[in-house]
Amino acid sequence: MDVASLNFVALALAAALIFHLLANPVYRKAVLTGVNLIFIASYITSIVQVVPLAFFLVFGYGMIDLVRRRRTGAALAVALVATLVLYVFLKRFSFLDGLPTLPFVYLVIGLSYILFRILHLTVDAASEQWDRPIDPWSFFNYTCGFLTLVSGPIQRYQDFLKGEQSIAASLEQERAYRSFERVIIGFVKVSVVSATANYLFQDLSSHILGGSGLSWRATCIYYGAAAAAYTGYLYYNFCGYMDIVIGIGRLFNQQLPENFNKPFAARGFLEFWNRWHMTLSEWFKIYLFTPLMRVLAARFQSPALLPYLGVFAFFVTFGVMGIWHGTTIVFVIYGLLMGAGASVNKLWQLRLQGALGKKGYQALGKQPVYVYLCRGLTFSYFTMAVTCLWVDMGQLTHLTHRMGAVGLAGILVAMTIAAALGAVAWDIVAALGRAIAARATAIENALTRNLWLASLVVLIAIVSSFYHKAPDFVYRAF
Amino acid sequence: MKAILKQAAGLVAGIAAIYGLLLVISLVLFPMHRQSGGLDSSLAGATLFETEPKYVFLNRASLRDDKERLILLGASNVVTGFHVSELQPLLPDLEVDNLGISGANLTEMRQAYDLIRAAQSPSGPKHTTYAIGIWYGVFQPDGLKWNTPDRHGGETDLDIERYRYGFFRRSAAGPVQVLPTEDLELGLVLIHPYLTIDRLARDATDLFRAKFLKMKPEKTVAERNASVVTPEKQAQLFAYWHDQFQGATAVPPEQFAVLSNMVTRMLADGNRVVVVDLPLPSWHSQHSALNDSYKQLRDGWLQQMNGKQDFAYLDLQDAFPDDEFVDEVHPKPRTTAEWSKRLAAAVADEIAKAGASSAGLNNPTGATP
Repeated sequence: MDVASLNFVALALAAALIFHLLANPVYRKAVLTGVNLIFIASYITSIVQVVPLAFFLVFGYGMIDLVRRRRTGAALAVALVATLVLYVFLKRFSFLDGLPTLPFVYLVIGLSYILFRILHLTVDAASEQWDRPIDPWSFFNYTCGFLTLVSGPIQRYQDFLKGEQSIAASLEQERAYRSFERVIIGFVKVSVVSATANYLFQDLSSHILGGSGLSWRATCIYYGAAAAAYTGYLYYNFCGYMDIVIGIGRLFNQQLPENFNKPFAARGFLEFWNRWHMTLSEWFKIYLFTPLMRVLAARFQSPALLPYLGVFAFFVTFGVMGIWHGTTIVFVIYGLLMGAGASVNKLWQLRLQGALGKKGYQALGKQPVYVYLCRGLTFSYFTMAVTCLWVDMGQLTHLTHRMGAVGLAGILVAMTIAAALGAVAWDIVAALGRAIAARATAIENALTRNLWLASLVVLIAIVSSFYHKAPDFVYRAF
Repeated sequence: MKAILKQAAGLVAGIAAIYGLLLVISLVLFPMHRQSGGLDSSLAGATLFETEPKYVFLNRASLRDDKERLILLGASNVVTGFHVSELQPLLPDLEVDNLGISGANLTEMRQAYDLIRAAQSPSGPKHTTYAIGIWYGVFQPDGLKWNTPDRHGGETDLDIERYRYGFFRRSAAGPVQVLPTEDLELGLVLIHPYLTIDRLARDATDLFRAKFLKMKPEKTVAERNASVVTPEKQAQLFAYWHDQFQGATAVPPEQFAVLSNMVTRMLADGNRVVVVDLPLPSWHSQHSALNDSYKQLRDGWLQQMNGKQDFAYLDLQDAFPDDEFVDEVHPKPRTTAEWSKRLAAAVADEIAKAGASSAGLNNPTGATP
């Protein structure tokens, strides 16, 4: 069942109504479990297809409890390695072709995000946070929540438990309105903005992926435009989806964490990842970057080396994060590009701060021209790196060869300038929008609010009819 | 629970109010009227329906009466080759409807027939003659034709129109009808704001494209009549069809099965059928391996159809000189009147025979009237 579909909204609304029928926490927890199971069932045609997923959950739970009881480094290492091996086996990475596989089709949707949750619980179990076994019922609702199963956001178990404690709270009218508003805005992003960006992307990319014999210059221009359109499609598709699940979550008294915070306002690649898919970045920071830094710092005990160890740790962390996105070799390249972006950004920060001093560096960071160029460069680098998400290895090789280093450098420069100017324009429009919204609060009442939401719904319905096909949810594939 | 229901009710009321307002505005801007005279998909661009598939799918209500009619099915050479305005005077006792769809293959033509049949009254087929325009291009297999990234795999342009406004919904077993065909006109009223806004948006983007992207204007009638297909252009066109069939030199038989199935059903339903082998320039027909293999399959099929009542075959493939074509399949504007004359004669002949006796028709293996 597609989250950005009427069926899902209908299911969620019906479940929310049933959820609020009684205030009993056990009843409400059971309703959530029921809708989680219905959601998983919507992806399968036979019960066999869900057996590997069920096994992964049981295995993961077992590993968490092993670590909780033993609390040794060896137990933690065994649990982590065993879980990762099982995950890699079930996920079927293409560069591990030749390894045995299960002889039937099975559900892999949500496996990556379940892995994150299990690994986080396994590590936390070793740090003496869990004196009792985790409640299996809560574990199931946490790992397989219908709102977060497919693509997050990645919520920590501790925060999930806080939500369970307030599950019986009543829903006020204002929160209901804000939920509806968030969901509808999410659909505008998915069905209007990302659908339009996808339409443009399909049209532009067909010129360079279909072997049309374009000139070098035309190839570079079409590539730049297609890549920018894809980034727009990716961003509005994913953040729109987040709006939908976060909005619906509020109807169930769930405070799901935010996953985006104006990522294209970022002035550097590292800042970008504090604003884009934030829960994923946070997870990797806590469970990979920080432990890696600790190990490296313990191994190389030189204060002068520490910043450069950070560069290396960023490279590894972002590299793994990139590779996580897919099972083919092109995602390894994506990971390397992500890693390179992060480590070059960190090196730049170190060098610049060294050259200008702390005050000089901070003053530079306030210069508008510098800031907008940094924003432009961040956008451009990210946009070119995510090319790996829409081409296969053959197409990537062909494009790189066709455009060459000069072409790629030229696109990066041109896109940086264009994106910097775009950021200026965007900030002006956003400021105007805020001013209009501030004035609009004067006439805000139940009628105008509902007319506002209704006009968005009509816009979604009409624009959706323009396109032959709704855009796929990009992050479902990861 | 109350908060959710109250919010949902407020939202639904708001949607009804806004959509109602849009409906009124759209009906004022583009009033609905019942089409008088025959349908002509070549005029789709000038209507609210804009595209041929949408025009064919949404305009079927006017086919419900039991008028004697001639319905043309086929691809772009049917759309542009047989003008209703030229054909109608030649067949005054019939209403002529050109429901061709550019880019169609036999699968889509069969879908068009199914949709038309659903819209007609039970006795409608007895008053209907179909003219099906074929050439090797419409035998492109579904797997090659209908798997572009902008659509769900295998969906034709008519399928897209089925689902676009919710008149049908997708299911694992295929399209499931949501709006009964008899309520098509009500459906048209309800979606009127969609059609209006789509039309206005398209007009606005056309204006933008013309002003800022300097798109080449369409050729005039005089320019098209004077055009010459150079050897370089011929080579490009051969290469195009080579790509369309992914390099195959033989037409796969699967679409012939679709044609056979469709014609058999048409005849079983009580229709009369004239299959027209459409004109091609000789530089195309005589130098195309695909055309050669198509003719073999065609001849085999025609032998099976030999003697079938209410069935006729009209071979126009080599009936026109090369300078009567703008490209590899489409006629020059000055030629379409002659295309219509040939077709009208064959249709009139068949109707006369069907009226005179129940014994059948011309020899279906290539007799040209």
